[in-house]
Amino acid sequence: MPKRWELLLLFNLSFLNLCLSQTINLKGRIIDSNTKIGISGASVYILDLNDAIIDYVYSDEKGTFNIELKKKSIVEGQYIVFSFLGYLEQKQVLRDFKSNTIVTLTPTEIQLPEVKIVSHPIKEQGDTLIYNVARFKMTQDRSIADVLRNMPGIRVTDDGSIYFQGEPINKFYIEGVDLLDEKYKLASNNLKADYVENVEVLQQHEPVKSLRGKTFSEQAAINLVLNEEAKRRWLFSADFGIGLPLTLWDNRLMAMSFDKNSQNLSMYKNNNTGEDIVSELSSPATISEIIIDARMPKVERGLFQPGIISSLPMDKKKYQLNASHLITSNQIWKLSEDKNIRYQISYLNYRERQQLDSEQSAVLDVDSTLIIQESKKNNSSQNKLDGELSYTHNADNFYLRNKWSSTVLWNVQNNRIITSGHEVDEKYNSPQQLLRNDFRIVVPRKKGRLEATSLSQLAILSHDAAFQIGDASKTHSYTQEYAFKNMTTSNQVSYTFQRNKYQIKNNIGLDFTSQRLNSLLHPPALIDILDHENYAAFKNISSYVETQIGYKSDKMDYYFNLLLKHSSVTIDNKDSLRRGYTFVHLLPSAGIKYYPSNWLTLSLKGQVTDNIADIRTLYPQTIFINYRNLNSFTGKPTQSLSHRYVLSLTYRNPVKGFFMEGLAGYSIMERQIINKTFFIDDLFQQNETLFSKNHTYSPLFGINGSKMFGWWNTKLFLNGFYKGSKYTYIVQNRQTDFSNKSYSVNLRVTIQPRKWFNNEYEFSYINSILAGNDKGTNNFSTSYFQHSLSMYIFPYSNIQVGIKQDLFRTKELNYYFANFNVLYRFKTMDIGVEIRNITNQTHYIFENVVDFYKSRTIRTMRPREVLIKMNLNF
Amino acid sequence: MKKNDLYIAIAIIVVTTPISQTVFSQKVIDKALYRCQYKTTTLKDTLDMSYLSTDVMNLDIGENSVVFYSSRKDEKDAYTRKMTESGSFDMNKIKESPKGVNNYKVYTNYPNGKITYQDELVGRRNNYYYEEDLLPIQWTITSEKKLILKYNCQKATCSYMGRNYEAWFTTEIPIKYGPYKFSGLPGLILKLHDTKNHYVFEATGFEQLLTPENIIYDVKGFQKISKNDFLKIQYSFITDPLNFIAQSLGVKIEGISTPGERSKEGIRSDAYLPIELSK
Repeated sequence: MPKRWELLLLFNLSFLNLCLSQTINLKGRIIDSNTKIGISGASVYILDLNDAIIDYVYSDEKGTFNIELKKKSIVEGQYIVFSFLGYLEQKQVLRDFKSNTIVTLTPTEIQLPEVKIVSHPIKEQGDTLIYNVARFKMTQDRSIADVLRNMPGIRVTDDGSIYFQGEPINKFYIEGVDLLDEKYKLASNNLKADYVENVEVLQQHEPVKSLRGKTFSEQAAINLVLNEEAKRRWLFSADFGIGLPLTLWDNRLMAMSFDKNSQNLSMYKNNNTGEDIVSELSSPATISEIIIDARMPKVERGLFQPGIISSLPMDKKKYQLNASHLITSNQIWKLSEDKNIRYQISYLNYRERQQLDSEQSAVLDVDSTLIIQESKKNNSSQNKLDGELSYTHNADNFYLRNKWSSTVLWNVQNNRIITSGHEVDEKYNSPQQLLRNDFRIVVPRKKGRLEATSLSQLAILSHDAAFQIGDASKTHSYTQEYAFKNMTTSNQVSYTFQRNKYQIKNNIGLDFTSQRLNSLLHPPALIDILDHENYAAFKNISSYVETQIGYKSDKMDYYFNLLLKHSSVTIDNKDSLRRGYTFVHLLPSAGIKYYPSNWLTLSLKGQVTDNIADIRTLYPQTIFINYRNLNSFTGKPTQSLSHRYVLSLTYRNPVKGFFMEGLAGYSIMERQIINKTFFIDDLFQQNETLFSKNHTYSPLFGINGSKMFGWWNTKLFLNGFYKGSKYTYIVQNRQTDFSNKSYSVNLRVTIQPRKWFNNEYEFSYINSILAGNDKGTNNFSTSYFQHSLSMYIFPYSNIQVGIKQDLFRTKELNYYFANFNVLYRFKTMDIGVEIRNITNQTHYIFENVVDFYKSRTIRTMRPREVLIKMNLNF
Repeated sequence: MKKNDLYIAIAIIVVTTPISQTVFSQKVIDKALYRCQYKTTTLKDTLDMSYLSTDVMNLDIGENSVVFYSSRKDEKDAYTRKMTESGSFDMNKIKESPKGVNNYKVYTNYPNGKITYQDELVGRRNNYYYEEDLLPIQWTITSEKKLILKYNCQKATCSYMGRNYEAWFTTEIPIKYGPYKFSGLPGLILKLHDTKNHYVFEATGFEQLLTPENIIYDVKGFQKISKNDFLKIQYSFITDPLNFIAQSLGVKIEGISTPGERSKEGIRSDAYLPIELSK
């Protein structure tokens, strides 16, 4: 009996146990609805009432699964879910699910909710930095230049010039092809950022392939890598803009094609909305071009200076009253891997009118300050046609380039001025023709290389001006004409050879300049001038030998350069016999660069250069350069040397998006002549030079920094500058040492707190001080602050609302400007409305210090305007 | 085992391991259809909780297997390869790798049912790879939820190789893999860290690749060893890198590394712990 009891108890207990812990196995098979094949690795999971997973398994190779659940734990509201990547998920009530069911999953095209992988914004590959455009483009950015502005290390100036770590870039490639040369702004300002995948910065770029790794190149180049959408097809873009008042127009038609073998950019654009298109045709000279540019500028400087109207420290769209047309076509063909032929042609028609009141104050002596007041209405027009044809053979073992270019320029300017009770009319007519040829060849030899360059230019200027001064009783007319012909050629041949890590370069050169200036003056009866018709012929033959020793290693580069130059200058004119002068200069230069790490560069450079004589600064007879100013110089060339020392530090950390460069420079110019200005009366002013030894000292400090932060897509750009200059000037008959100092700070921050909201804040401060050595009397100072805040909101992905506010503060006044814009984007078209200058600021007072005086200009601003623009891309 | 014995053992492994490379050591094993990117944060000094190094790592997801590797190292390797192939190899142009880059690569489910782990310790002599079984990790799913990136995630915990981990996975991406060797949850792991926060993996993006990319299995230049041997080598490399190199060359150098000082790699011998501590 007891045994039975025991058995019964055991049975009951085990039954109870079974009831309490009873599990069920849910089995099944998951198959593809199309192929009926089992899906391996699909997940099967159980969701509780809160949609949290409480258990899960995976299907095996045949698609079968087996999930074991406690029967008690199955309650109402639970689900069983079957899912696999690329298939539509299936969800069934757990209680209703029957074991051994075949679950069919349907393949789906439904995209997963992606969160874009953000590749690192800046990658470093050897000497190349690759900026990912998508990471720097703000939604409101249109052109690639807008995006370049957001990239740390790169700086785009207001006129569109591009700098990398403080130096102007030396090449701007599109898909590795140099289509535009120095006119790269045509692409950077007009090419849509959406077409560009990456911006590559090729650091220390040497454009000549056979010289790569052998030269001391300091500049970087930019290469745009386009995306698939923009490659191998023609891109068209059309903009149409009209506005209120109805006379406003702003249009652009553009066709581009960027292929590896042939590229073209053709465009016609016009506007009268203040948009600057003139600067698109030029770019700042690189270090190697500065010296040659001083001798052979691409547009020859004339003698007339019809009152310099300095531009204001703000966007030209605020004040420029223009009417501009630009038509350009640029084409390059690759004849083979290494050879290409390119033409560039452009025609610019630019008209501008201005109205301004100006005041110049200068201290003449202890108790008299001169004030010149002018009220001026100006109309000017410029026609410029230039063309260029070049052939380049750039191979690993050979380089040849010949570039022929020609410019025809025609400037006309009419001014009506009211000054000290006189009415003045000025009419200038300044045509110019220029021809230029630029040749270079590099032939590597077994142990070295042979190089030759030849640059020649011929410029013909024949300018005339008519002036009229009227007062209450009488009108005086006078005219000034001159013809200036300048023929310059610069040729050199060098042989460079390598000894271990040393490179020795021997160079011989011959420069020749022939200038002739003829002038004819019909002077006003108001002053006595002796010579009315004159000429001067100027010839300069310079020959030089140069030796450079350079050393290059991983950690350090340095070079030492010695140039021995012999110049023979002759000047003859009507009054004097031919006079000859000889100068011999020994001009050393040296530089050292040290790389303590990959990211840090320290460099020190010193250079002595001679300043080139030019008939325009020597011409001994009187020339009216405008209605007021008469120039007459010594007629005798003098020796003048400049010494420059620059210490710089460059730091870059692309991974952290941090770039910094700092420089300290000092230059001394030794001169044998001194500038003198003499105010003849309240109308006329005479500028001349006197023989007297003097020096100009100029210290310079600059710092640039840019940093990218991870939070809110923040980027910070900081720029600080100090520039000083000490020089001597004779005003009236008093010689004064002046010191001119100028400080500036610029800070720009862009923040994107939310995808639909971003903003940019900019702060600028400029302070300029002019002080004479007689403390107190000659002191002028000007300062101004600028705060700008741009805000963009994107309530929907295709709508942009923006407001840009600028506050300018000077010592006396505040100016507030605001622009408002709304843009609607369609697939291939945008339509936007912009209201500019909402507060209708009518004028702006700009103060500045120059040479020995302070100038104050009241400039008329563009009125309130509404502009409607449409942009089409296909 | 005494320390010296350990060195000798390692020296024997390192020096005598035959160069047993397969001829066709580079092959395409799968096509990556999806990529998940993680920011990894590693504590390099357990005595200084602020001494962290970060890297960007990709998990490339194919049909059958996944590979987890450093995106920054991959870029550098691609560049070096390009330079070598084009013949314009210039040592000056090969910049130092950015600091904090993880040199390891993990292939999960390649070969089938296994994990292949490869690592470059220092120099060309010390590139190793090993295979281990892809064993299921015992996950405990909790009811905690949160949003990561824009996916709903649920928390799961596990113990793995001497550390306790917390993982956040999402069923919205039904992929059973995750960073490092972690897998086996019913959705992609978007965040994973050990409870001491020495190793943190945090997803920063997930996307479908526009064009599927090859998953390349490349063990060229790597010596195959057992996992145990690798862990021993790694341990001695981490704790005393200079001596490790010396020993591996069969040279005995004394008094190079001082405990408590950071090595050139920024590692303090007595305070850095590898991700896998023990079984």
